[in-house]
Amino acid sequence: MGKKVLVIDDEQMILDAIETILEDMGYHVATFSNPLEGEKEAIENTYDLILVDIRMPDRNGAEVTETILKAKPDAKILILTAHPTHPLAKKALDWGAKALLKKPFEISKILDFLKG
Amino acid sequence: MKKSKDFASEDFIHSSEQFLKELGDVDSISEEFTDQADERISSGIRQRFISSEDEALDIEIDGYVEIYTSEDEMKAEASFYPASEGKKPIDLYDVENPLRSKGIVHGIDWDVIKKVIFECNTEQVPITDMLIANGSKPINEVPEHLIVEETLLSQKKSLDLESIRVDFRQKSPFVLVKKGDGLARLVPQQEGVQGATIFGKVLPYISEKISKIEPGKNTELEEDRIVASCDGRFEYNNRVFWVNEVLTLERDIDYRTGNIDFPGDVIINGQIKDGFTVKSGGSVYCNTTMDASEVISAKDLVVRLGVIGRKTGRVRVGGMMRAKFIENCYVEATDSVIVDVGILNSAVHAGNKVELKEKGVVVGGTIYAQNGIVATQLGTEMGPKTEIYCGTNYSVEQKLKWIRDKNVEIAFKLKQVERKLTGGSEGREKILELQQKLKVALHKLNEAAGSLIFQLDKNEKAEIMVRDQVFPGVYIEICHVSYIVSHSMRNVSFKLDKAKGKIIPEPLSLKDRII
Repeated sequence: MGKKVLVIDDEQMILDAIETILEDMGYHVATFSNPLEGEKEAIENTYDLILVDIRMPDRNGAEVTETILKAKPDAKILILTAHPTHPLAKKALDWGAKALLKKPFEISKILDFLKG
Repeated sequence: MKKSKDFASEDFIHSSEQFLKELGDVDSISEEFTDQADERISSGIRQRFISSEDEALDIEIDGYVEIYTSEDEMKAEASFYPASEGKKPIDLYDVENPLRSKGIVHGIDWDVIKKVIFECNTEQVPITDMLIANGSKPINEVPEHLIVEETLLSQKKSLDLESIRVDFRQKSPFVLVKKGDGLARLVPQQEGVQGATIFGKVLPYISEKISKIEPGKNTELEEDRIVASCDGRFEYNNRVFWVNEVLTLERDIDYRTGNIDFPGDVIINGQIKDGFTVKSGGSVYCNTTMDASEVISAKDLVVRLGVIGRKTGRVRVGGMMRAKFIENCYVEATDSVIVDVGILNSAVHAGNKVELKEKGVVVGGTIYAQNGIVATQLGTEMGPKTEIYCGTNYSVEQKLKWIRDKNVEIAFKLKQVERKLTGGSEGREKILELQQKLKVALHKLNEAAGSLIFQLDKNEKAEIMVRDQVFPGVYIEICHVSYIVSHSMRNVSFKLDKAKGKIIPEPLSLKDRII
């Protein structure tokens, strides 16, 4: 069975792109444009990799990361951001996110995390 | 008459007495045939053998022949002994009679026999173990059949030992053939021939059963051989051989396969490992992702998933290219490049159009599309610089630019040469030779430029269509007229207004918004 990936991003195009590419490669991808719903899903189910956008309405990526990791400390979270130096990105890393992926992110880097 | 002392007789008597004495000794111990006695007998036999020649001189005999036959009845050998002086030399009857009495009738070599008889009689020397009759082995009956060329069955690329360094990426396990190459030879039917022993016993032949191998697809008969009717990979099993114009690779392309250089289509079901090259005279179909590799295809390239170039990947396509996504890769396609999801940080050159499907975004990198581009999104809010060039043949432009640069270099060198010539430098002849070479090179470059200019098509109607959003900072150029997107726009088409000499963004027609 393929690995499971959860993507939380308010940009539908990003969600579609990741879903299309990774599903074709045999991964199971769940996408959420609403950060609260995505956060709930991450806690209730198990994923091999969680991609979280940093700038989202209602709830930013650092807060989502914090909530998920408090409930599931072993979760592997990557932060998607166009601004790697943004204080929220740093905060997400402090909470335990594994790495920052600079937007526009490269599929090869996501694959490296999935294979690693 | 007083006889002189007869030494020969004395010797004969003496030796005879000695002989009898030895014989008597043996008799006396015959009851106990000890090893000692046995040795004495052997020694006696040896001594007799050693001195037989001397004895022969003593015994006057006619010339004679001894004939021996082999156990398998396929050979008869003879030893020829010359006659003593005054006695009858060997003649042909001395051979004929024993041959007849032994029943030897087949394969007698009378020429050898006559020659040896003559030599033995004239030279007065024994001639031993001469082959005088030879049986004949049967020749088996073989039906007409094909033999695959040995070189194809054991084709291995030799290593360049002189260079010491061996690039194992260059090795290939595939046997590739060109149209017209010989694949197999037709061996005609061989009639069976009975054999015979020297005694005339018939040895029947066998009809051999040959496991026949048949020519398969892409082969044809040409006189007495089977040749390839197209370029491709030579394949065979125990029953059939053929040429496959499609190379299907079920495994990864790595050190086990080496680089692929195939004249026909290539289907890749594994991955192309980092640093390996695939060259195809036809199209390439990749059913997985293509990773940091080099792919050159004369026709189309279809990548079911994406191209992950990792900044070293390079693709050159003689036809169209289609992929789910292209990331960090250099792509050149003579026809269109069609991408489903996105082109990211790549340099894409299309002789026709670049088309991105419903979800297709172009983020970062440079796109050269002679006849225009269609995308859903160009650039990102904070993304890397995205440049779109349309309306000109980028490939020809690049070549012309290269020629121009080289022309400048050559002109500079020619000036240097002229200075040296007027300054009276040493080696005038060599400098003159160099001058001539530079002039020839310059002429060739100018000729090439002349023919390229005719290919420098312009398409002033080339359009850049964005179905959804184009972000500020995206650089657009149509037929060398540039435009920098200053604010975000949606559903827009960029066209060249030739009269005004500038690019005008227009709302995208409803028709063009539909995928």
